[in-house]
Amino acid sequence: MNLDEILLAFDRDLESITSDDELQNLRNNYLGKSGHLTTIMRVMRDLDPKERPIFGQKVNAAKQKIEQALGSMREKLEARKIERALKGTKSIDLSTPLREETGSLHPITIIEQKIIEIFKSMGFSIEDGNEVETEYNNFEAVNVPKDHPARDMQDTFFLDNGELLKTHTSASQNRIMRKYGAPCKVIFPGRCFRNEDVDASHDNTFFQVEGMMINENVSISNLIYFMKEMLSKVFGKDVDVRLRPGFFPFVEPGFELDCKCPYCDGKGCNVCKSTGWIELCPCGMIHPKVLEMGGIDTEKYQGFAFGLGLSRLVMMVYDIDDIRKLNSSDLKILKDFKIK
Amino acid sequence: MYISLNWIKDFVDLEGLDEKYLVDKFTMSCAEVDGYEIKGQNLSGVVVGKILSVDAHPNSKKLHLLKVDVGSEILDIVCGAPNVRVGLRVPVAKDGANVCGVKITPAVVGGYKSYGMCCSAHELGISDDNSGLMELDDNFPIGADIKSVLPIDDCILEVDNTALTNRPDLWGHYGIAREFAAITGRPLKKLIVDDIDRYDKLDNVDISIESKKCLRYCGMKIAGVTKTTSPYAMQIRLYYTGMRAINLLTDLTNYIMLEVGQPMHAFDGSKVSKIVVKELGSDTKFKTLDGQERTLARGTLVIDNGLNPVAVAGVMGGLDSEIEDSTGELLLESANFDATTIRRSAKALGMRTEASNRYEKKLDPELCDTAIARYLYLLKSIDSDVKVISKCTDVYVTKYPNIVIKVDKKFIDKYIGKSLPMDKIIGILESLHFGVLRIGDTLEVHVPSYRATKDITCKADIVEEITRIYGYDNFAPLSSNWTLAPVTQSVNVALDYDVKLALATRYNLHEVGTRIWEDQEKMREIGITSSGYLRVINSINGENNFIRNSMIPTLLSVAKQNEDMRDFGIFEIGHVVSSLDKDNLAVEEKHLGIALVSSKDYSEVILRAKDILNYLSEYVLCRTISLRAATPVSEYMHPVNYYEIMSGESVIGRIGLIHPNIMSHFEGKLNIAVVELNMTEIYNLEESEVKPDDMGRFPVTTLDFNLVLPAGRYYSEIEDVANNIASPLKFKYTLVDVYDNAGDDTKSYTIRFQVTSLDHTLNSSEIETFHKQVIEEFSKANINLKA
Repeated sequence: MNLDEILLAFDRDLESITSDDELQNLRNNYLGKSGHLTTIMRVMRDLDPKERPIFGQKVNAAKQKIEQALGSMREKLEARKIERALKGTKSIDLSTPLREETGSLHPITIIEQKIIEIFKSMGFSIEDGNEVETEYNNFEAVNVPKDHPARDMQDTFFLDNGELLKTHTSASQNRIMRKYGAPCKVIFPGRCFRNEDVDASHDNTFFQVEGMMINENVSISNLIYFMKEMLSKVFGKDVDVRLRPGFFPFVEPGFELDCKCPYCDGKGCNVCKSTGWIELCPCGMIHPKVLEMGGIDTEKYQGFAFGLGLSRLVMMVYDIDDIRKLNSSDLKILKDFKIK
Repeated sequence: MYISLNWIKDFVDLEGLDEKYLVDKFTMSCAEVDGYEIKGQNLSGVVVGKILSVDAHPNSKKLHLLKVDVGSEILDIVCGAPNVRVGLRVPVAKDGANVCGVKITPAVVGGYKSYGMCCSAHELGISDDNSGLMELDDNFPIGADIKSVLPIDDCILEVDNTALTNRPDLWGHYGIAREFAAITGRPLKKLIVDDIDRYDKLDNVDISIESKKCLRYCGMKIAGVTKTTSPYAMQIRLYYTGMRAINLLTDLTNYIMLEVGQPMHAFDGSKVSKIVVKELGSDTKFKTLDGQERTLARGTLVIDNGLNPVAVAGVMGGLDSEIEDSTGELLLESANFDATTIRRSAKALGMRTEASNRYEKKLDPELCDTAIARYLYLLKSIDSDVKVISKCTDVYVTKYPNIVIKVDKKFIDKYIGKSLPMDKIIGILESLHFGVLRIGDTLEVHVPSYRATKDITCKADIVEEITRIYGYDNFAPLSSNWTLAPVTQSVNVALDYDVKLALATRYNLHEVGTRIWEDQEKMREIGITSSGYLRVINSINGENNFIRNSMIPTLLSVAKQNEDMRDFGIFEIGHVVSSLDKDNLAVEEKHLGIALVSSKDYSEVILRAKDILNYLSEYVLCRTISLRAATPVSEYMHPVNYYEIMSGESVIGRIGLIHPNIMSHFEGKLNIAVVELNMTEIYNLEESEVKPDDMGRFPVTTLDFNLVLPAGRYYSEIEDVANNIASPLKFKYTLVDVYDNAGDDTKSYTIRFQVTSLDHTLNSSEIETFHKQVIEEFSKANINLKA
């Protein structure tokens, strides 16, 4: 073939190309070691030396033309491939959930963690307590001596070694005071037990979060502040609180802390039983005797303590109507408490 | 406790203050009021009527036809009460009247028209007595509105008793009135009493106190009692506040108790003329006022008449010396006993009475003679014929010390977080009848006797008095001026949460909350014999429920409860009692328990458990643990594929499958794999260090060893050897492949060693030596290369 014939043949061949491999073969056929253009260059040796540069130029021009054509064909193939990829992609409905089951945390854990985070952010330490306690820690050390009528307020589960299941998180106060000394800011969530008849609002196993803040100037006004902040954070809005006198042997003065019902803003609803207020948290200034038993110098230090009813709070937050559901271990109920 | 506002108004003027205001104020400053009831609001149009004639009803034996004069007219009334008689004055509900919330209209009764209704005391809401018509005084004016002659209108507050536990002074209306006076800033009227000193010349009552548990005993004899029933007003108050009218002398003791807060007892003077307060020397049978015979235990504090017990001190009197309508002479007791003693007596006898309830609060002994003087004053005003026949004999054995508390204004301000003016502070304390002496900025506070038995003991108590009357609403929230410094955090709670979050989010497990005791019934349901170190001795279902020593049984019970879900996993971090220490006290630990329930093959479940454990130890707990094959002690664990979780040489948990014996209690074919991890031990373990595995800059040589282990041997044996190769070279190894060998039940493990030196390029003989050493070490442990 002469040069013109080669170019004609190339144009013809190019038209039938549909894949990268064919394109590569085509290139080899024309530009490869034994390709048509390489072969025709060999003819140059036999030419008159004067004609050689002209012939050389012609071949080079043909080579460039072929290269160009190959290049644009490559681009064309590429474009076609992308178009095919786009057209060939099936649409998938990502709005369909992947798995039916996901895990869950216990609602107590979720709210407890929220409270922990709130108090951590205010510089409190987080502690833990035992569930089996001595009579001393549960009663004597919080100023409830033997035969004190206040023991009747708490029906106790006793164990056969003389210990008991703690009736309130205050049972850990003494140990924690001794561990931290003064000043200290600590909260300690815990599970408590009372030998009571079980109904929709009473269970023999329930949760509290106890807190203590002890320093030289800790006051009733501080107590109001920290309770208000905590509840406002839990409910995600500004919550009003009020103190009422309440008698608990381990505090003096002792209070019942009510929060203005966050569901009706105090107007009265089912949750607050139309009173506008919800009783949430016995609290008060720690009784000097309790501080003394905890090894704290009462001439220098004073502090507040509170025992938030966590089970109650959880019921409010999640609109759970029966406290027994919390300890039911019924996954039909619990598995819906997913973590966000 | 029920409080009558009418009664309170005897002692403090509450004019112009409505019930709601008073209830709110009391709740916010003193004690919680559970609720209040307006008495008499469902009663109107009832007047005093006089029965003019009583005719038999032709169609009924029970019914009578009456003509009743109601002042403005004479009404025909058909009445079924048994006590109808001519001349009797009775309450009559006229047409349009409201009785018990029901409107009265003319009606036909047994064929005769009745133009009204004669009422019983019960229908008026002032008594339980529904046996017949209420018989009114003959001097009540005919036609007068019943409310103008009987104090039916009242407001009754129910105060939460537990809020009064520490306030012995609030167990009577006078004490409550004192609070209302302070809260409203109005004066408290004096309690009017008889001047009992004037009987000092009369004979003593023979009183001897033989036990220290009696602090004071006042006795007085009164004769010539002719009246037997209490005035209506007194009966109504007793009824409204939860008691029952019995007879004048007994009612008066109750009335005084409700008014002054001091329990009293009236003995029949003909049966008791001498008082001995003593502890019983032996168990004694005794019939109490309620007619029951009880055995009083040795040591019980009693009142004895010299022959036999006549009352259980502070709890209840005896039937034999009971006041009856015929009693004309009485011996009046007003005494004070040790609070704990009375509490125990009442508990032992199983009868918490109004009296014992008050005594156990530690009453003020100063009230004893006041109560007698008040009793006498009221008795004389009802029955002017009575005659005092002894002096008020007062044996006062033990007095409480006077309490004086010094408190600085600075202390008060610091405690409440706000500065109160001095005159405000003094004003509040004085309104509560504290004596206050001001010396500069210091107050010397003299505590009144009725607050000094246990209630007020220290400065903090004084602060409470000031703040509650000042009003907690007047305090603003105040943040603290605490110096900022890093806070110590215990590792445990935070780590617990990380574990829970990982299990729930990464492994889709559900957190559950089980009881700390193993419910025997639930354990039986899944074939587990419950055991433990401690038992609940007063458990709810009466069974000896053990405190758990492992999380597994309670979790299995939850698995059973939810078995219809088939494939699911649960977990809990809970408390267990793992042993008792030398003092027999509980050694308590926190354990993580995981149970994976699956309908799939057991190997799949146990491997999933192992995967979870791995992830926890490496990425959440960051503590190094290992597994060691073992034989389970717990019967509920499957003997095959049971491993102990180790930290070094100590066991800190276990992983395995549940025994087929237990699984047979589950519906369908299920497998359960469990993990239990002692979190208390985990907290104490050092966190594994994060360090880059630096192999230096010289070339690293890779050597693969194909090791063979027969069935029954463990990969951990390979690790044990590899970890203990002593070589000057730097090396590490990984398991790159495991496969079952064809033809026998051995397994091959491809272990890849990477070896180098930190200071030079290894030469071939060093590598050769290392290679040989590895093979030798393995063969020493009877682990050989694949042929």
